[in-house]
Amino acid sequence: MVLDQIVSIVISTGNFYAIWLILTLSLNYEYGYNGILNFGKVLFFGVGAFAAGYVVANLANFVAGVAVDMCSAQAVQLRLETARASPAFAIGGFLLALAAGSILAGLVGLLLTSSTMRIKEGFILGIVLLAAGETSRIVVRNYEPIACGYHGLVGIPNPFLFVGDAQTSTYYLSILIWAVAAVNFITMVKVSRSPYGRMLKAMRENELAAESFGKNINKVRQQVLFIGSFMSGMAGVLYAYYIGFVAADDFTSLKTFDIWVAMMLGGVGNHVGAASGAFLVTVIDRATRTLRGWLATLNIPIEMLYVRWIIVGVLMLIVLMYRPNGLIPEGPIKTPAYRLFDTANLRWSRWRKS
Amino acid sequence: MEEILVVENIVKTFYGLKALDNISLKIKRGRLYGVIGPNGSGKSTLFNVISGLLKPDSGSIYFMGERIDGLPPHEIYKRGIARSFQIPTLFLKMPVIENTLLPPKKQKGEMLRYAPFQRSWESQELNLAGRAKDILHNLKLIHVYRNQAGEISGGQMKLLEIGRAMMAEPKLILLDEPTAGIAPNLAEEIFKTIKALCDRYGLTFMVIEHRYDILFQHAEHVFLLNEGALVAEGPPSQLLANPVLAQVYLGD
Repeated sequence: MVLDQIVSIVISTGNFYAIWLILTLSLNYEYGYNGILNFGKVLFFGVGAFAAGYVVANLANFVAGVAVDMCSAQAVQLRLETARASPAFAIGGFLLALAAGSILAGLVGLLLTSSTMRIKEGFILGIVLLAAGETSRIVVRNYEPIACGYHGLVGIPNPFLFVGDAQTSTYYLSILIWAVAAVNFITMVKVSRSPYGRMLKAMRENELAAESFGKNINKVRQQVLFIGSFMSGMAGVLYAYYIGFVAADDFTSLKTFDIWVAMMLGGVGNHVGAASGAFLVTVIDRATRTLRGWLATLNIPIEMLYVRWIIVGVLMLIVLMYRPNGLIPEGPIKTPAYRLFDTANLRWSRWRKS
Repeated sequence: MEEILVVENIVKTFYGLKALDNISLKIKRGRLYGVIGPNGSGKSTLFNVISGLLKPDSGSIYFMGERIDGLPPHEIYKRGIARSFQIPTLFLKMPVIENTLLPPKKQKGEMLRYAPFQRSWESQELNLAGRAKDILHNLKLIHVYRNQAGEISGGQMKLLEIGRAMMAEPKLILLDEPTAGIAPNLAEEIFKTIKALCDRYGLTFMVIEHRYDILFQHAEHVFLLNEGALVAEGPPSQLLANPVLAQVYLGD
């Protein structure tokens, strides 16, 4: 009984970690590698999640050949029933939602950067993105056709619901979430060790110099925001599928700053650092939420959700005081050329002396 | 000898102040040109206009017969003009070697679709590393290759700026005060290196310089700017004999 509980806590923490990992990696790609102040992360995360809900709800109606209101209890029943009966709908719906959510989020990112391309000051772009995130949340909250407004869209079916047992389908979904996160991590590490990663860091260091050495900084910035938003959208789809519903108020700007905290704690411009920061933030988040449940049953009047903010704040201060570059500071990028020089160094120094 | 850069009637004003006042000049391939003038005479502005960081108000610039004024900096760079800056604009948190590997054009690994697949760009990268090794060796920077560019000395930074411009395989290199703040013997060395590059590879240099003692020994042709206008030009010996030079620098 206790073991079951521990397993379920570990699995849920692991899944939330995988989702946070993707988000933190994407922010680190944008800010840590390219210096873009993206204060609108939650917008792209939300776009992915809402797109997932919207796609799966409409697909269920389409497959069943009916036109019920996607917010009604009847529609929720229909989605779950169809997913239980038809693996093709369950998995196909998930894949479709994953593609739609990521691409839509990427396109929104592209649209926002293209329209703000002439803003040279990074912080103004940051404020534009922050405002865009918050206004979009308010629109979704009040305009029902997107995701049932205030109440949120319930009943996003687990893509493995057809295996029967709810526990097993959650396990399968966890594996899937982890696989997506792993692919993201590996791709990010590879890109950052390539000449492309070098170019991103060079742009961050000195935009003027990068431009006069032939780098098309506008194009690269668009690419970076497309990829970063694409990844955030992917995380949003996974999140919607894992918790099973989407509600506008889940996507306040506070989430954006959680992602920033994760990156700043772990180490800016360094994927392993970002991964450890994401781990810290997820563990604090899940631990305080679990404790909150226990304290409530024991009638102890401590609101852990606020304690969480205190812990995060204090941790942030400690890290900024003692390790201002994060827990794992950024090292030099080691592209293959750098490593070649390292191995050849001994030989050359001998040759120089002779 | 053919002209690779032709500047015609360039005007650039900042808030009504004429930084460049109707400048026209011609640059021939494979030579070392000097640009001199008092502070604020428009030398750096001229470089900024040629390299595309600033757009001229009027006039035209032709590079290898093609009109380039108004093009964005990266397009001009692609056509073969590289530059260094007065204040070194290195990528300070990146190792020296990575600084030299950024400029080469058409790097496959800089395309997003190839970047995650190391096999597709590794051989090109290693070729470039070999070239970087030669250049760093020539500039006596090989022993600091793994230091971050922010950690090396001021003189080394200046050398690295030149090395970085070399890596671009340009046809024309614009150097903005390559020897400012550098000990005289090293400055002499830098000019010898530049001259050698001119002779060996047929590269063309335009160098802004305040130290005429060194510049006049090496440059083949010098432009004198004053208050945004080209007031005199010619070989160093001819320019030294020109009374305008003394007038510009010492007043009437």
